[in-house]
Amino acid sequence: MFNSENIKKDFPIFENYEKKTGKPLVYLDNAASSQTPKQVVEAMDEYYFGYRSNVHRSPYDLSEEATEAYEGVRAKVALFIGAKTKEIIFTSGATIGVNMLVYMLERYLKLKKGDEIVVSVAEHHSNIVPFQELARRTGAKLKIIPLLGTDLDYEKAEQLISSKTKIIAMPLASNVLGTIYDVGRLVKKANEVGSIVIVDASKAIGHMNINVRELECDFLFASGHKMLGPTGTGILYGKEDLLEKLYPSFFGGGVIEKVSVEWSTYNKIPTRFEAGTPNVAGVIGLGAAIGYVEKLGIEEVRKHSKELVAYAGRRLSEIEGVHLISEKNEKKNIGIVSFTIDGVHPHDVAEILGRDGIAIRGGHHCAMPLMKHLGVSGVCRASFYVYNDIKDVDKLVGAIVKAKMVFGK
Amino acid sequence: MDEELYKENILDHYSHPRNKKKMGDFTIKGDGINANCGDELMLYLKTANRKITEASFEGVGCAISLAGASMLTEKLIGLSISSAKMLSPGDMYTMLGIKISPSRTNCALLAYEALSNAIKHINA
Repeated sequence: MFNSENIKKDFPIFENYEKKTGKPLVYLDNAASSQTPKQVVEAMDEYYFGYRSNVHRSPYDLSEEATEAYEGVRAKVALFIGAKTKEIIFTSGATIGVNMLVYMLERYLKLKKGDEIVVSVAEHHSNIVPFQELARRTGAKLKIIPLLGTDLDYEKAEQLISSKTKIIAMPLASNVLGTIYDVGRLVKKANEVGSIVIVDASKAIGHMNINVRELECDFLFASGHKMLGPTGTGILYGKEDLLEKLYPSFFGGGVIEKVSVEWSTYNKIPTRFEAGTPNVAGVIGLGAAIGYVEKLGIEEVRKHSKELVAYAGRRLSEIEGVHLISEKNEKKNIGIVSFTIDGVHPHDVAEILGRDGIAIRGGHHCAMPLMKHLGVSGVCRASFYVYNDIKDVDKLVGAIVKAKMVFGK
Repeated sequence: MDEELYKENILDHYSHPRNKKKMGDFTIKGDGINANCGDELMLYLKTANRKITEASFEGVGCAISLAGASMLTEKLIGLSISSAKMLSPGDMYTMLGIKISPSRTNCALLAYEALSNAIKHINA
């Protein structure tokens, strides 16, 4: 049985916040960034105070220990998402991951006028803007998959995807609607036309089981900080045969095999794509975060989110003037409830709740095209993770009622 | 709980904004965009003899940004363009009369940004 009360004890921020402010912390902004358990910081401490040194460089014991720990996490990540170890590239986060991937693919695909890139309207800015820029640079056209309710309009998507399609980029789960999308369905279509499929797993990783072999996507990227890991960590997965064909987008130490002043040859994958000294401590912390999630059990984590989504959806719909915007079917929701309140702007809701120690996000959530599609300027979003429980939802509901009163609604 | 931020004055301007309408025959207009939340506001000014004779705004926003816009239009009407150019962010904070946290600065200054954009190219 999932015990959030015990889990909370592993996250010192809850105690610290209460000591500092005199009120308990109800942290419901996990889709922006999660909290960090002691185990993650301790793992980084161990590195910094016990075996800090650079990786892949020198044959002395500290460096070997650091390299072993760093590469050990690569193997751990690979197992975690069903990939091969050499298919995992460490990045500083999802955004840098997708940006470097775009440059890698630009050179490989040689996009030109007449080619098309397909993205969805539900996308986080980080999975739209790099492709807008790619389209601008190459003359390729950007095509947008519309929504049907809270899910993608798969039939329209299938019509959009044609032999002209070179890249399809889509999220595994929406950071606003919570919807878990049917990536497999679009991969099937992509395979028919020979398009590359890129999956943004930022919201999904650490919240549901991910297996890149089952998804059959070509690339997948995510951040570490939304799954209990340190900030400044991320992963980029790429199919081995594709990575082998790609040229790095950043250059420097680690990337090269042989360098003369005039020319260089490049290293094997995945090292070819990790220029410079990596975030060794962060990667080690990320490994501890994965360990933490695995100890809880990813299926248990998922079940817990479903329970909270179902309960929150029920409670929020009971409040007059509150409109649920997120996916209502908890089986299809990653762990997010988004809503609007008649006559109260999301910013004001977030601020009033914040003063009661309830952390939610109000705004466009880096998804302006989606907001436009929904016909709102912003929404309130409560997103759950392992340390949240039913009581947190009750406090959220109580505070919303209070916020409505402030505005005389 | 400290409810100072949402005191009556702000809530009154938010619920009953002054001069919230599109102006057809404006002399100049300027827009403000809050990059944090995507809220947009358009400020319209009508001028005569280097004076602002009418001011209005339209847009969506939170209590802070809309109350700020409402208050600013009231202040602008009758003001000379040179005086309007002299207005500073501090004047917005004074008008709002509340403590603005760093995360709400963009909200408080949304109308001011629209004003700056409107008048930056005209001579006083």
